[in-house]
Amino acid sequence: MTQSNTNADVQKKRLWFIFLAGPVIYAIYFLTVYVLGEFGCLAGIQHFNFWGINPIHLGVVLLTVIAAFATLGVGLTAFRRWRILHKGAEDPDMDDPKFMLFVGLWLNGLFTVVIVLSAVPMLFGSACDWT
Amino acid sequence: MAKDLAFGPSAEHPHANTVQTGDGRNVISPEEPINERLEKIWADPPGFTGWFRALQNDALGARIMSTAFAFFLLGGIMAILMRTQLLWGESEFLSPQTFNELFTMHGSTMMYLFAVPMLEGFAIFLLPFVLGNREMPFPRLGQFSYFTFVLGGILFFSSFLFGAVPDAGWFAYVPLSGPEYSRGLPLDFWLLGLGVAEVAAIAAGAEIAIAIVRMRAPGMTLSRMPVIAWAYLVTAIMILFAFTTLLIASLMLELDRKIGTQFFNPAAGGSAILWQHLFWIFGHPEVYIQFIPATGMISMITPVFARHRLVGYNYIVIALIATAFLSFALWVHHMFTAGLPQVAMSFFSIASIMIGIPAGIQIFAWISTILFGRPIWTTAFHYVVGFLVTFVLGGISGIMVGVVPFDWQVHDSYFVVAHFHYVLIGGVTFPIFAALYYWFPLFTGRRLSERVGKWNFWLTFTGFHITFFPMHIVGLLGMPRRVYTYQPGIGWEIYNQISTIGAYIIAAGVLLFIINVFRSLAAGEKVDSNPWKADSLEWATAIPAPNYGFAELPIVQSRHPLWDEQSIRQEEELEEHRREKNVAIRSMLQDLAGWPLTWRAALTTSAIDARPTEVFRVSGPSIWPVVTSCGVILMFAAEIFTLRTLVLSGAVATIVGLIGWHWPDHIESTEREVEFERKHNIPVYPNGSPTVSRWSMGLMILLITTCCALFVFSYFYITLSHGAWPMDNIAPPSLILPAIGTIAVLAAAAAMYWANQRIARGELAAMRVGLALAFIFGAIAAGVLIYDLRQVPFAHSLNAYASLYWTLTIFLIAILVGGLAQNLFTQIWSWFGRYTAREHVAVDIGAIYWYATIGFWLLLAGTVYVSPYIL
Repeated sequence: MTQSNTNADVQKKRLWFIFLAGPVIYAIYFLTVYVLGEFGCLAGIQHFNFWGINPIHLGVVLLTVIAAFATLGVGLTAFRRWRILHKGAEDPDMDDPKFMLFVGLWLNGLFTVVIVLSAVPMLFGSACDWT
Repeated sequence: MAKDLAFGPSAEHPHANTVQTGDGRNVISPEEPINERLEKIWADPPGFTGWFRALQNDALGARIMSTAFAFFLLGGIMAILMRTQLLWGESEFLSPQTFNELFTMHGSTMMYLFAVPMLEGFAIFLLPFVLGNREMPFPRLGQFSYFTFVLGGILFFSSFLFGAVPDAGWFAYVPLSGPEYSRGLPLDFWLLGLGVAEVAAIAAGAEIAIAIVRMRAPGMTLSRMPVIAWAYLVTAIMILFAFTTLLIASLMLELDRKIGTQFFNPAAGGSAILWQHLFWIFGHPEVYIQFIPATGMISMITPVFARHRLVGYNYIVIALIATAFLSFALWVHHMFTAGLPQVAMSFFSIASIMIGIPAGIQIFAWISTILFGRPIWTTAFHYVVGFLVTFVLGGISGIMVGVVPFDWQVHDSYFVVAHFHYVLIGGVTFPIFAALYYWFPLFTGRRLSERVGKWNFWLTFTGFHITFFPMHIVGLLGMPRRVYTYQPGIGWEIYNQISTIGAYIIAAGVLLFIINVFRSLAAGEKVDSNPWKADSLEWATAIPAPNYGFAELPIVQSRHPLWDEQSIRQEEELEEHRREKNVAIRSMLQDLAGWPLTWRAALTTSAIDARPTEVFRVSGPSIWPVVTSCGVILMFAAEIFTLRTLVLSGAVATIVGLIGWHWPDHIESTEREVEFERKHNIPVYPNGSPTVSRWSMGLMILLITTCCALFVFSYFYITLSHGAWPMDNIAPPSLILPAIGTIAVLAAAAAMYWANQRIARGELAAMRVGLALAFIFGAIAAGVLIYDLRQVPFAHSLNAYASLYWTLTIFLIAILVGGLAQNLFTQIWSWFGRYTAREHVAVDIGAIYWYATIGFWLLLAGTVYVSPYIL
């Protein structure tokens, strides 16, 4: 495989990563928080306290911060790369990378918002109050 | 070189397609002899048995759609009967039991046998044309999918003949659907009859995904892909996750019912709420599996009749992907009253509201497209507007029920019935009608009557709102769902009567549609090409579409190939490097059009930039998928009645069918194919595509991973719901046997890796040794687990822990046995000399399977054997 083929493959993998990072990070975040919340409540870990903070709340906040920064970071990367292509000369061969970067930056942005908003209710109630 | 190695345009190999621009000019001359040759190669086999053996995408797609519509009519009749019962309070038109059966069958039929199959039928018919290729990647899988669907549906409805009609709702909550409260056959018909249909849906989903990713026309890059392709791509992936979940959940419930496992029995450590989780992990994405392809149809139809390009293509793609992922994060909103922790509920409430954002993006994109355009009010466009109005109203009520306190008031009331009918009829059925009017000329060569169509639309649309709007009100007044009657004078009668009248109006509208179809088939206006002056590739073929789709595959250079001059302009207008690239590709496509003469050739292209990568042979007609399908049905049907000998017979028939289906029909490469490869630098695979095979193995692994994840989820859900683990003082299992098994699995994977490496260098004998070693090690791993089960001191029915232990272990054995079977047949075929350094795809995908098996083993064996020591 030539060097240019290898570079092209790496570029494609980066594009796919940027394209799908937002939803995939959200999916992992969501599953982790759900498991922590529901399974944690079932296991009774809310009865432990770390510096007066419920471990489920603490876990959700930490996961939210990590996930939100991850999607935000990938989104900003996508934006920077997209802007370089967008401001550059019109090149039809760059249409698809631009498209994937554009979609990637908006998906990452959207899921950053979703991640942050998902954690907001944590601020307002007890994690394991059973309804 | 043989004298027939004459490639390139010539009098012998003229172009064949008729391509029209938006203003109706013909660009390439029609009806050249090549069409006749392609017609022969791609023809459906004749005669009675030929009907069963046929597997061309248009034939299969049409059959699936017709069958799904028939189920739609059956479901509609049930709805009419229920509405008639609810016309008056304390009516005795139907008994309570019959009413329960009808709402179960109505919901199940519409959700499992109409909506998803109808949309998959559209996909199978349309996608090769829309994508600019000739066929789906696995025609035999599509054929299997059709027969499994129709036979599964017949099995499901045969419950009426046996007086065993399912009656526990389309969601079959435990414990009502469990062995204690639903004795007898009805729920077995539900679980096993629909289980077959689920298998069909998964099969079609896998094929759709691969077609879209790897079988687009050259030049149809991701950014030029039609929105309907994006919609079906995300849907196909969703189907793999969601329907697998239902399959596993159904399996677990059927095991509870038939052999006494305790997954959902709280008295034995199981969890009734677990069923709800599993069902709705499927159930909520299921509605988006229906909605998303419908939006794809709307995105194709709206620009044509608005006479304006789709506004916001990029944003619509973003919305589709976001909707797909978010839809898996909503399921608990069906369980807000089930008694879950607040953290879970608030989480799902937020996601349920956030999904309105991508939906709203699409709505504004369509509205903008219409506002910027000059609409032509065909019947299809009427249905588009009807969809917009109705779906938005349904979406608003959906946001309302996403708010937990509001949902607590309206859960299980008619407000929810109104909501989901607004989104499912408005959001799915109206687009289906629009699509039927729009694509009917492509299917049949005739237009549906616009005059009758307008009557059809207005009756359906008006009838719909008359039926379902009052349900919002009566739901807020307190009328519960699924009640066969109500007290007279309670204030609900007038709303129910209005709804019933509306239902009859809908029925009249649907009847008009049926009349329109039959009249148009017989004497409708004939069309020969692109009657709507549309922009997408399916209208570039002859009408009705020929079996082979495109004689010469197109090169796509824009999102709107038939509207843009770019797609047919002279190549000297392009930049030099693109011109050279296009000339090379066009030369290849012209040669492909004129050849081969003996087998069905299709093209794979790369995922992002749609460069041609392979020419390969797609499967031809065969009876074996039908045999396989019949075997599967026999297994499921026999299990309903617990006729285990017949179940075994069905299993044998299935295995025989699978062997026949996959029996290699080896074709040697000819000099002409070698010359084609040399000239165009594109490999030719007359024995199947390695790319397509690897993708299919990848999707299979995804499916098995989903199954494993669901079992593990169930295991830990039950574990954490329980105090002590394992239950009833059962001792944790020994780690010696699983340790041996782990080493064996690793060794098997290593042996497969080695075998694959050897055959890649042409070392056939070494490959056989590797395969044999892999088989031995794999058999040791399976043997270890079987031995363990034989000596565990508890039966599967003792408690939930025992049920999980047995089930997860047997599932792991099944994974190993699947790998061993594939290995064995690969070994057999290797002795027939099937594999070379260049063609050894069976060894390649076998190795991939065993690498993945390491992960499956660690996950499942770790859960079963190691977790008791940790928890």
